[in-house]
Parts: sequence; C-alpha cells; structure tokens
Amino acid sequence: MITRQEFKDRAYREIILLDGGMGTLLQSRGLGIGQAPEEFNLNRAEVVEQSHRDFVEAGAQVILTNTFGGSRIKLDEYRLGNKAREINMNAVKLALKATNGTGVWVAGSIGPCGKYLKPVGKLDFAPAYHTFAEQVRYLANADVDLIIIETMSDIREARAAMMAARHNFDGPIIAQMTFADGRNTITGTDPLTALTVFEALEADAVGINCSTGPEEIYDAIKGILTKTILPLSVEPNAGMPRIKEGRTCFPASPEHLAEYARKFAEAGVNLIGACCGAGPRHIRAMAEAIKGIKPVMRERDCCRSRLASRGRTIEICDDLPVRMIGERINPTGRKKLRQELKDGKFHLVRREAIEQVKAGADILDVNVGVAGIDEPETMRMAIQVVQKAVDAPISIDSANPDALQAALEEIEGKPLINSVTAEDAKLDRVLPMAKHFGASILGLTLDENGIPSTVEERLELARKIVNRGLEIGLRHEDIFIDPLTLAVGAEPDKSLQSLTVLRLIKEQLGVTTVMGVSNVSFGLPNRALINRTFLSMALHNGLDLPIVNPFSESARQTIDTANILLNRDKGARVFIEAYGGVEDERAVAEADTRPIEEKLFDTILYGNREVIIQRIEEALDAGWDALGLNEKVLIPALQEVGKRYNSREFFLPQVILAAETMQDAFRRLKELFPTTEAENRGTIVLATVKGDVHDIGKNIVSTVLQNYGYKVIDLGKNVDTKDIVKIAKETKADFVGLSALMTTTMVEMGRIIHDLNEAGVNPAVIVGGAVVNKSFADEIGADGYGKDAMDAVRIIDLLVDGKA
Amino acid sequence: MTIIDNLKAEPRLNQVYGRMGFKPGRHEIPESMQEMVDEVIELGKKLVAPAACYTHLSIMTKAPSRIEVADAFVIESEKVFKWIEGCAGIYLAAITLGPGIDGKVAEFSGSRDVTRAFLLNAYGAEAAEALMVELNNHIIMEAETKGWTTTKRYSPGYGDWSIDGQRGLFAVLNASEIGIRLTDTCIMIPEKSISAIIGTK
Repeated sequence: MITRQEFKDRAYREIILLDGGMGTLLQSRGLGIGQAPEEFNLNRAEVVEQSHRDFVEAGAQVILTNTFGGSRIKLDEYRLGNKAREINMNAVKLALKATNGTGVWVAGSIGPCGKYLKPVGKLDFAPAYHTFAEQVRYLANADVDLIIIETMSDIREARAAMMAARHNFDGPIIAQMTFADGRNTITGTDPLTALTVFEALEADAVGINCSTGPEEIYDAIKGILTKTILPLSVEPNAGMPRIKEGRTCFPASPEHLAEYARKFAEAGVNLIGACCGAGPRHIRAMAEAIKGIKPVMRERDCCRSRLASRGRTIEICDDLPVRMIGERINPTGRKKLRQELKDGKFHLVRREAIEQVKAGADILDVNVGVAGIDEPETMRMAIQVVQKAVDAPISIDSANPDALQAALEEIEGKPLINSVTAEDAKLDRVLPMAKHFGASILGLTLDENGIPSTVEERLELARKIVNRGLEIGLRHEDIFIDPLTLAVGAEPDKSLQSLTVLRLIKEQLGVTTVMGVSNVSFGLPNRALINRTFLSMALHNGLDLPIVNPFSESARQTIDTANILLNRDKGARVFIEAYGGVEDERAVAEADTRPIEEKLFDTILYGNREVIIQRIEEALDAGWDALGLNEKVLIPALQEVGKRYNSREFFLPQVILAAETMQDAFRRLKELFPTTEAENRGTIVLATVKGDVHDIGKNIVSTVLQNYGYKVIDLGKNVDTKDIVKIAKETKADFVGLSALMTTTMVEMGRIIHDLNEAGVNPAVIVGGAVVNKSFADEIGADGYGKDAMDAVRIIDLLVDGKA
Repeated sequence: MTIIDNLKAEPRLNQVYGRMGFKPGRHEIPESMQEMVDEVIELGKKLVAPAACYTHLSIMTKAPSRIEVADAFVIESEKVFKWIEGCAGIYLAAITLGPGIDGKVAEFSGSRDVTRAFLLNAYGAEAAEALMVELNNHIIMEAETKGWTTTKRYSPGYGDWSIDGQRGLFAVLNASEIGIRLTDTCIMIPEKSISAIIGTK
C-alpha cells in the first residue's frame, strides 16, 4: 500500500498512466461469452498474469486487478459468490507478481454489483455497502496499493462503494462513474454531482470511465476541471462499441486514443488510462503521447460549499444568488401534516416538496418530529418520498441520532445534517456521522446553557463547532453555522446581536451561514414586514442560506432584490427574468406583485388549497378584516366559479376544489367573526337515504352549500328515515336534501316526505341522485329537484329568496 | 364457475377524464388540476385488485316475458325477453375492483378532500367498466370455441328489469368467491363491481 499523500504528490508531479480494458483483452485470449472474467483468476491465472505484464511492458504505471465484477452479489450471478475471497486475493497476487520490481502500482478494481439500489432497483443500501466492504477487505488484505471504483452509473451504489472503501481501506481511492452521453449517468447523475458526493466521502481522485469514446469524456471532464483541486482521472473506451460479424469491436485506433491522452493531460487531467477495447498497443501509444507533459496546476472556482441530490448540485458561493432552504416539511404547528405523519402517510410531504421547489426552494428541510411516532422509520420514508418527488438536496432536520442515521442511508446525494449544538456529547455523536456519510453539518451556537448572552460567547461556540469538525477530519466547506434568531419583541437587543454574530462568523471563521428569520417577529403585528426587513439585513451581514417559507412572496422578493444589491446576481439576470420583460406579460403575472385581494380571488377561483391559508394571513396582515374579506373577495370569487361553470368554461371538479378551498379559508375567518355577524341563510339537513351507500354526490352538495351561507348538517349515508325526521325536527331545518342512486332506494324518498308531514315538520325537501328526475320529484311531492350541486344551490337560493 | 384474476382494469384516459366531468373526448384538463388528476389516476391504478367470475347455464323462455335460468333465478322482463330471443343459454358474469377504491374514496371524503374523492370515484367507475369489457371479450372468445354467438351484455336495473334481479343472479353465480356481496337493497359491495348476463345462441 502507498499513502494517500504519496499518491497525491505523484499525481500533482507527473501524469500517471493507467492500463487498458482487462475484460476485452481476456475475451481475445479465450474468455467465453457468459463466463465471469474473474473466474480466470482461479483457473487461467497465467492468462491474467500475462495480460498484466503486457500492460506493464506497454508503459502503464498503475494496473487494475481483474476484480471488476468481484463483489459477492455480482459473483453470485455466476454461482461464484462463495469464492469471492479466493478470486479477489488471487487477482491481487497475480497483479503483484506481474509488477514485481517495476514500481508499478496495483489498484484493486471495484465495479457495480450488478443490481440497482432502491428506488432505481430493489437492493437496499446496507447489503450493497456490505458486499463492497467485503471485497475491499480482501483487496486490502492482499495488499493492493490503491482502490479504484469504476463504471458506476447509480449514485447511491457509487456512494455505498465509496463509503465501504473509505471505511475499510486507508490508502488512496479513485472513484469514477460512467456517463452515458457525457452529460448524465443513465440514472440521471451529472459529473459535478458525482464529484460533490465523492469529494465529501474523501476520495483521493475522481473521474470518468467507460461511457462512450474519449470525445464525450473530454466534454464531461472539462465541466468539472475548475470545480476541484483533487486529481482527476479518465479511462475512455476505445470508441463506441460496434457489432461486426457477431463480435464486439471498438473502433478507436491506438493513435486516436493517444491523441486524446495528450488532450486530457494538457487540459488538467492527472490520471489517464483506457477502458473497454483498449489493449497494450493503445497503452503504448498513449504512454508515448503524454511523455514530458507536466500536470496542469488547476485552480478551484469561488464556490465555498456544495450540497447535492441525485442529479442536482447546489453551489453556495458569494458570487452566486442566495440559495433558499424550504422550511415547510415540518409538523410543528401544522395539524394536518402531524396527523398524516402519525398515520404513516406522506401525501402532504410529497406535495410540499413539489410545491416548494416550484416556488424556488433550492434545498428542502425535512423534519418529521411528532411525539409518539417511530421517527427513524418515518424519516426514512419521508426522505424516499422527497427524493422521488423532486431533485433537490435535503437538509435532514432531526435531533434524533437514529433518525439521522436512517436518513443518511437513504440519501442519494450529499445532504446537510440539521443540526448539532455545541454540547460535547452531541458533537461527539453527530460530527462522526457527517464524516462517515459524507454530509455537511449545521452547527447551532448554543450549548447546555442555552444561547449565550454576549456576541463573544456566541462566536466562541461557533468556533468550537468548527474546530471540532476540522479535528475529526470534516472539510471546512462542509461545516455550516446558524447563529440563531430570537424574538425581538421579547429580547430587544438580540436581533442586532444575531446580525453581529453572523458578520463575525463570516469574517473570522469564513464558513457557510444558515439562519431561519421568522422567529424574529414572534409576538408582533405585521410579521411579514419585520421578517423581510430582518432578512435583508441578515443577507447583508453574510447570511448564505436563509431558511424560509418559499411561498412567502415578500421573502422571495427580498432575496431577489438583495441578490442584485450584493452583486450576487450578475447583470441582474435572475431579477430581470423574474420581474422584467414588459413585453412578456406572463412573467409579470408570475412575479405576482398584484394586490393581495386579487391574488386571493385567484386562489379561490383556481382552488389552490396549499396556499389559501397563507394568502388569508397575508390579507389580514395587510389590514383586511374577516367580514370584508369574505364579502368583497371570497364570495365574489365563488360566484365567478359558478358563472364559469354555467358557461361550461369550468368543469365540476374545479367547482368542488374551489368550494373546498373556500371552506379552508372560511374556517380560518370564522375564528375572527363575531358569531352573530356570520351570515346564515338557513339550515339544511342532508342525507343519503336508507339502504343506499353512495355519498359522493351528497358530499359535493354539502361542500358547495356551506359556502353559500347555509348551515349544513350532514347525516351521512344509509340514514334511517326516522333519524332524518328527528334531526329535521330538532334543528328546525329549513331544508332537507335527500340523495339516492338506485331505483331500489329512491322510493325511500317518498316515505321520508310522508313521515316528515306526519311528524308535523315542514322543511322544503330537495332531492337528487343518478336515477332521480324532475317528474319523480313531483310525484313524491318534493319541493325541488337538483340535477347537480350548483343546481341545488340555485333552487335553494330561489326558495329562500321566494320565502323572504 | 370460472374465476379469473389476470384481467386488466385499464380504462382509456379520455373516458376517465369524461367521467371526472371534464369535457369528454378531449385530453384537456385545466392546468390548475392536471397534477391532482394525474396523482389520483396513479393512486387508482395502485388500488385496484381486479377479479372476475362467470358461469354458463341453459335457459327456458316463455313468451312474452319469462326467462327461467334456475329455480332461484327467473327473470320477468319483456325487454330482456326480446333481447335474448332465440338464445338457448346464458352467461352470468361479475367483476369487482375489490374494496381498495371504496376505502380510499371514503377516506378522502372524511378528510375534507371531496375533490379527490370525486376524481377517484370516477376513475374507479371507468376502471370497473373497462374490466367488465375485458371479461366480456374473454367470454366472447370462449363462446366462439364452442360455436356459439353471443348477445350484448345486460344488467339488472336496465330497462324494465328491476334491480331486484340481482338477487336471482347472485343466488346462482357465487360471486362472493371474488368478494362481492349484495345488500338488502341490491347494492353490490364493493361498490366498484358490475354484474351482467350475456345470451348465447
């Protein structure tokens, strides 16, 4: 084994030549189709050894062991799983024999295990990790100089292999993925994301292999040359394989690969080799071509920190627009989300993920902390749901180490752990997890004694977290600090203090900063105004990652504006895109600077239930009172819905959705109405008749009627006639609405009308349902027949106004 | 009785949209609802557990309206009689999507999500219809191998055949084996079930 430092020194000093494709070489030397190349390590050892010798003689300075498919899961495909140890150890022995005395390094090769991990495939993280860990241990015990992970196409599998290698091997590790078209792996990961994940897991070199020919790899590697100072590696195929006379042929000549070897070296690649189809002749030509070329000293661009999902890397940098962490996946103060999580449902989580990203969130915070649930399992599921729904890096928000562990196993990219305090016990527990899983960590400036009272003490805690992180081997860029905000209403001096701490952390520690701002306004009126003012101050004082509600218009506008003023939005490109474009009316509409009442009107009209409560709050903040809002905005919106439905512009589902949105709004407003002022146009008892279990239609009628000022008492389905009569009597109902879907059950309607009359109650009876029609309604003596929910409203309104 | 559980309940999209109340025959959903509609359809696909059963019996007919299938199953209907005229046999058939859709619809309704309840219910109705069509095709093919031609299908509650006809049909066809039961008011549970007869000549 060589040390990681030796490896790095040499890679910066000279271009290192790797070998060519072992599999294709063995095929030309007798390996049958459908046979495992690794089996040759046992029964055709001389062929393997000779192949290594040929590469060494051609000039390779690193040769790769014949263990690409040597993980137990992969070997099982050939029923060789129980020989994993022999196969791997023998492979290393053969390579060492071939290099003996030459100074050539032996790299233990690790390829994919042949099964995709969830959600692409069915394999769990743990078995994948363990199969790679086993292989790494065999290779390490047999004394390889370094490990090379190759041809990975799924980032979760690559992550499992990289982690297994790092945890079981102290020497250098090269980690490579294969990009189908030069831009993405077949499961959607781009080169920058691969680099971000591997770098965080402490790879010693990162690269690209196999893929197509050298041309595409050249384009792909160019994209990450300025993103790292780690040595970079490439191993292109000898061109795109073609089938010729039943055999696979690789078209690129040794000269062609040699030309590219020179190009790679001159561009700044440090380790150059070749993959499928490239034999000793290719390697010889490449050795010739790179002779005398010195590695380029690459420089890394300004980017300070990176987080990644499967296919998207978020760069955090003073020169780029501020990134937003979306805070909405958090059950605190959200009853419905809490209930869903308790029930093991993730519908809202999914919706919040999608909507927040749509609204501009770059990173999603995921918090599932509800008392009494299995938090690790719930967290695992939530991470799966979010990763499936959107391609955005995740901030894992939990104080429960088991939940963190579960989430970290599930992660596809590079997450942020939110969070750790400056308490020793917490640091000892959480910091190693960040290192183990290649995550960034968010430290909070508080300890056992809470948030310190002075700027100096708070800064000291930040310094402690950063130092402890560095001590255990985290990279500076992966340590984030949140200086915390307190309510200015309660502690008038603390907001200014938070801003100062923020600035000092930036100046003295230079780490990425995170802060939630909404706490600051707690207990004061017009919170949105305070929040956005504080946000703009914080951004000026060095806040990199605000945690915000992405649906908050004012937060977004503040960030967009700050980006130009702080020269983070070069040429105001993002700002103009969002707010400019006089000729593009749609863009103006999307920026949505209209008055709140207009926005609220549309929210009802288009049934956007996700934002209705927030819009209501905004309107209340803006000075609207509940009654006025209801009369001037909500009811007119609902009338517009009815109008559009009647003109066939809107369809029934839109009416229902608008009605439900209206109900959400109304429930909130009702808390503010003086009870006497809430309009009541009449009481309606609704039921699906006895013997009938269909209630969809009745439920729609119920939803719609409630919005028109009627008090609806919904008795449900299969309701006994005498119960309907009893309730109608007790509540002095003005109307009874009956629903039936079957010819066998609609006759019950007649009985109900009869019994109501007998009992001396005389509400107007309205009937409806699939088989019911006007003539039937007349026959049984009903007062009205509604063909659908809107029709029911029309008839009841007519009756009320007629009565009045 | 034959039970088949590998038939597909895959309704055509434009029919689903139509049943949901959108303009039928056009793949056009308002932008504001597209996501919810897609989500509900995906959910619906997961919730269906299609099962089907059928049996064939010979019949006696007596003009003008009596069809005797079995002691427990006598149809009195002029329309059915006319429709089945010349047939010597009859298939009794039933399908169900299982209780999944019903349960979820109830759950949506209960959690103040009537829109999703309505959309999912509509999906279920079309999925059940699609499954019945599949079963009908299966029966037509089987009948062909026996040299029979088949009539279109007919269900209790159509025309002048009272929905009470379900009782006789279910007395002969043991649809409880695929999980369908009948209420006193002749409603099938799960709701997303269809029963029918098909005549053979």
